[in-house]
Formats: sequence, C-alpha cells, structure tokens
Amino acid sequence: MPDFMRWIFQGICYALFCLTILVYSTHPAYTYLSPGQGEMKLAFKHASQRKEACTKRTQEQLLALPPNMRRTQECSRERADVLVEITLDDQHTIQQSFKPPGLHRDGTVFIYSKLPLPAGEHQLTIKMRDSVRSEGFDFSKSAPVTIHPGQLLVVGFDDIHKELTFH
Amino acid sequence: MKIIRHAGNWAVLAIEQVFNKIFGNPLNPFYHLGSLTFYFFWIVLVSGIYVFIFFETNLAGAYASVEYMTVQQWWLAGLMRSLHRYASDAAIITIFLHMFREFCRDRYRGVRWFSWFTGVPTLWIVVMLGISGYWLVWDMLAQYVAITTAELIDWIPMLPGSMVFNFLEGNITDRFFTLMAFLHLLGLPVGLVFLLWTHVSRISQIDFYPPRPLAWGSLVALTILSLLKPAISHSPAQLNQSPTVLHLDWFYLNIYPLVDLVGPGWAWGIASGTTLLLLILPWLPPRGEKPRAEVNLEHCSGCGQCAQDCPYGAITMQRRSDGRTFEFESRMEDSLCTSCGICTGSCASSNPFRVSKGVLKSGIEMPWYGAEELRTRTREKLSALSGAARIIVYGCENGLDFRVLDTLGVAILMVPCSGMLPPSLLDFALKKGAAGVVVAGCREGDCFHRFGNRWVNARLRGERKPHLFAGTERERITVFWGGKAESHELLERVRSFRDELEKREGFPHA
Repeated sequence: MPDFMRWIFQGICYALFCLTILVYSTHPAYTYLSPGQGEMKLAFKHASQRKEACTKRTQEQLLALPPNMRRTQECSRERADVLVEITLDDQHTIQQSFKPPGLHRDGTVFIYSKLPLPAGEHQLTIKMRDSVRSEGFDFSKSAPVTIHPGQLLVVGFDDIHKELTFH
Repeated sequence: MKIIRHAGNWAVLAIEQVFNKIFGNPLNPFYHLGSLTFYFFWIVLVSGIYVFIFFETNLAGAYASVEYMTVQQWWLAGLMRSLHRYASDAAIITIFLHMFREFCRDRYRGVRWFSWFTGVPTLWIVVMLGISGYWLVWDMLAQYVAITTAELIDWIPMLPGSMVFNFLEGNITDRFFTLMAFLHLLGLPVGLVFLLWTHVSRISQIDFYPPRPLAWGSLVALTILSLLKPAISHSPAQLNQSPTVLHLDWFYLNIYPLVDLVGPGWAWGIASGTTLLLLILPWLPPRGEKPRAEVNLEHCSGCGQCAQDCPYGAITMQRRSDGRTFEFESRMEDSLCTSCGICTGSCASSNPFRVSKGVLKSGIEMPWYGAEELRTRTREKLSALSGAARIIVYGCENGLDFRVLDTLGVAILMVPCSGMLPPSLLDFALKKGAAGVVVAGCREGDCFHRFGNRWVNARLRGERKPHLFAGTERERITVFWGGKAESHELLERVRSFRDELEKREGFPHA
C-alpha cells in the first residue's frame, strides 16, 4: 500500500475511534422522565410500633434482674412493617410495604420509593399503617397537588407533629 | 468456551491483518492496547491536574467553576476538561479490546491467570473513577448519578442508615461532596496505581508507553475531538427537580439505566455475576500446563541471558550455590513459567555442537522438550528429507497453519515458541544437510509468548545473544511471521526461498 494511502487510512481509523467516543459519551440520550412527567418520592425514616405492647414488670421481676438491667417495662424488640398506600385522584392505588431493618427487625424503617406522576393537578392521598392492626391506617394525608414537568414531590413524615408531609 | 475463543480469535486476527497493512506491524494499535491504556491514563492525569486548579470542591462552587472552565477559559481549561473526559472514554475502549483480545488469544489461563484476575478489580476502580468524576460536576447528571448510586448502596443489606436521604433538598452537605472529591482525586487513583502495578507484576519488560507515532496520533485525535465537540455540563443540580433527558456517558454510566429498569437488587446481581464470571474465567476450564523449565546447574554459567529474555520474569539470578567458580546461577520460579522454552533459546549451552556424543543438556530447558530433543528431532527430520531442496521449517505452535506446506515436501519441526531455537541449532541444521532453514511463528509484534519472534530477529541480526556462528551463511536462513490468515503467504515464502536456494552457487548444499 502506498504511503499516502496508509496515511489516509490511519486518519480514518483515528476518526472512527473518536467517532465511537463521541457517540457513546453522550448518545443515545436517556429519558429518565418523559417531558410531561414529574416524580413523587416517598422518603422518610420512621420507627414503627412494636409488634407486642410493653408490659410493666412487677417488683419481684425487677429484683430478679441485675441492677443495671432493671427497666420497669419489658418490651419485645420486633417492630411492625410499615404499609404505605398511595392514591392518585381517587383512582390509582398502590400499596408498598417496608420491613424494619436489623437481625431482630427492630430498626427504624427507611421508607424510600419513587413514582412518576403525570404533570397537572392531582388529588394525592397517602395513608400509612405502622402497627400490627390488620385494617385501617394510623396516619393519612390527602391534599391537592400541582405537579410540573420535572418537578420532584417528596412525601415525608414530621416526627414532631406526627403527620405526613408533602413538599 | 473454545468455540467462542476460536471465533473471536479469527475475527481479531482478520481485523489486525487490516491494521497491519494500514499502520504496519510495529505500530498496529491492537498490539499496544495495554500501553495505550496507560497512555490515556497519563492524559487523564495531566488534564485532571490542570482542571483541579480551577475546580472548587464544594457544592456551591463546583458547577460554576466547571462552567468557568468550559465557557470562559474554553481554550485551555475547557480543552483539558474535554481531554479528561474523552481520554477516560478511550481508556475504556482499549481496556475492553485488550480483555477481548487476550481472551481470544487464550492468554488468560494457566500461569497467566494472575494478570487477568487482577485486571477485573482494576476495571471496577476505573469505572468508579469515572462515576465519581461525573459526580463532581454537580449538574443534573451528577445528581442522577449520586442518587442512583445511593439507591444501589442502600440496597446492600446490613448497612446502617440510608445514603439516599443525603440527597433530599435541605439534607445535602458539603461533607459528602468533599468525600467524593477525595475519592476521585486521591483515594481511587492510589488504588488504581496499586492494582495496575499488581496487574503487570508477573510480566517482564513492560511497555508502559505506546510507540511515539501512536501516542502523538491519539493525542492529536483526542485534541481535535475536544475542540470540535467540547465536553459540556447539564443544567445545575436542583434537588427539588428530577432529571428528564440525560446525555449519559455509556462507557461509564451504563449501570444506571439498568438500575432504573430492573431495580438495584438485580443490577447488583448482574454486575456481581458478570464480575464473578470474569474472575473465574481462567478456570473455565483450566489450561493444561506442561512441566516447567528446569535449571541444570552443571551446565549453567550464570550469564543471565535467560533471565533477560524470559517474558514472564520467571528466572532470576542468584549467588552460586554449587561452589563452582561462576558468580551467579539461574533460579526458576515455577509459578511464573509458561513453558515457552525461550530460555533454552537464550542459553549458550543449548549449542547442539557442544556434545557430539551422549545426551546434550542445556543450562535451562524444559524436561519434556530440551536441547537434546531439539537436536535429535532435527536430525530425524533431516534424515527423512529427500530431493535437492532440503528445507527444514521450525514452526511455532501458536501462529500459522503449517499444513499448507505439506505439498512442498519440506521438514517441519514444531516448537512451543520460535524463541526456543538457539541460533546454533539453525547452524547445526545447515551443517547436517539442510539446504535452508525457515523459522516461522506468530505475527511480528504479536508473539503468543510476547518476545519469541523479537528475540529470534535480534539474535539473527547479531544484536542479542546467543549469536549465529561467524561463518554461517545467513542467506540460507529465513524467517516468516504471520497468523493463521497468512499461512498461504508462508507457502509462497518457502517456495520462493527454495527457488532462491536452487539458484545459489554450489547448490545442492547437502
């Protein structure tokens, strides 16, 4: 192959190499949210109620314990799962359950979940059960929300006022 | 696995053949993928140092400082930023080609498992470096990367707390950002250097730099790319917003859409399953190894040539242990030896004229194919030849298809590597009746055992010991280097070599 042809082909090889870099360093574009969508995130931590109620120790029971372990109440460690129900415009309902972490299932539950929402006005209802009850919910909040394209709505929990929040 | 390897090898050889025509063997980029990767890391390092001068390692200033570089000082800082990104991408391409090529060539099993095995965590570090780099720009892409990374880490059981909560509006602090900056600027690079050192620690005479024309060519190409299409940021991170359309760098960030698609648990499963598969690949199935080379101290003069020639650093020189007057002796490290036999070719005592009767022993040789076997088989092959053009072809097991020579009636003696042949053996073949000697093996620059054909060339040119005898008719020895695809060219070469020999004065030589 003549030298000038080799130079040309070498240039083509370098160009193809760069083209590969150029294309895959930015393309194809990835659509995380469609243009007409916003996103809702459940994102809060919450210590659910214990599965069994605490009982008060009698004086005899307390005296039987070493002095450093004489707590007046005896509590089981395991906490209840947290169940969250999301209802949009009184139509679409999603339920998600979150287990307490830890070997004894006694840790604070980290509730994290993502849900794309169509942009616009919505009636958003969130209900949360954090006890062993089999029906009904311990907390709920319902409010009209306006979702803009690309907006992130975070559903949280106010530990001081013990209520679900939208922000 | 064998079928995949063979099919891949066929494809790689075909592509490399084209590149050999365009670049020439010494500059074929496929023969320098490792050193090209090192070179891209150098570009990343130098450009990264310059970018760091202007970069603010805090949440409030990071994006603005990157924008300053990209927009206001585009002519240097912006260029450096683009080079930083594109050289990182180039490194990923060369790494994957390097892996694929070594797999297809079957150079990842047996003794060579170590380089493959250590290469896998190295790849993880490189990818983490890339991810942390994108994080530092703190634009919408960085926000997406940060949050999805946190989701991945939060999935790991038994980790206390939740990382993703750090990225809710109002929760984020500089502390986490500074940690990422530390990891990208110091922690991960130190880990990378350590792993790269480990990766190449079992081979000798490493090419850390590609040939100069390739280095310049790559740098100019990446610079032109950086000027034509500078790297730019997305809009600044906003934690009350979610990203919509992202221009991902698929070389580094391909895991993130996978997380969105299948969830962090499956993404971990796929990533760790792939990693595990790559790690155990050298044993799927393991390579059948031949007995390693052994040192015969009574024939070793301690010259050190074998240690200089061994491509895997399996031979070291140590103080003499047998009381002889030589200062050093060779010492074999079995776990590093691939049984290529190059050391036999290096050893002056492999000279077949040395012991006329009795068993020839070299200072270092493989128990299953030593200097005596080379001499005996050469004699046998030559005695079986008939006709005037008595040509013996020494063929490397790893390159050409020697069946193409069947019609020519030449003698073919296979060896594990062409580098195993001491020049004196070629002279021996000529003295014992061969009209000509052909040494044929892997393509130049692409020896299966790294240096076999390089050492043969250097020995025949008299540039590397051991040399040919002074009186040897060099014209009666020829070499041919090629892959399977060039087997028919070998046929032509041997045929024309035979014709040349026949025209020589005094022919036949036998």
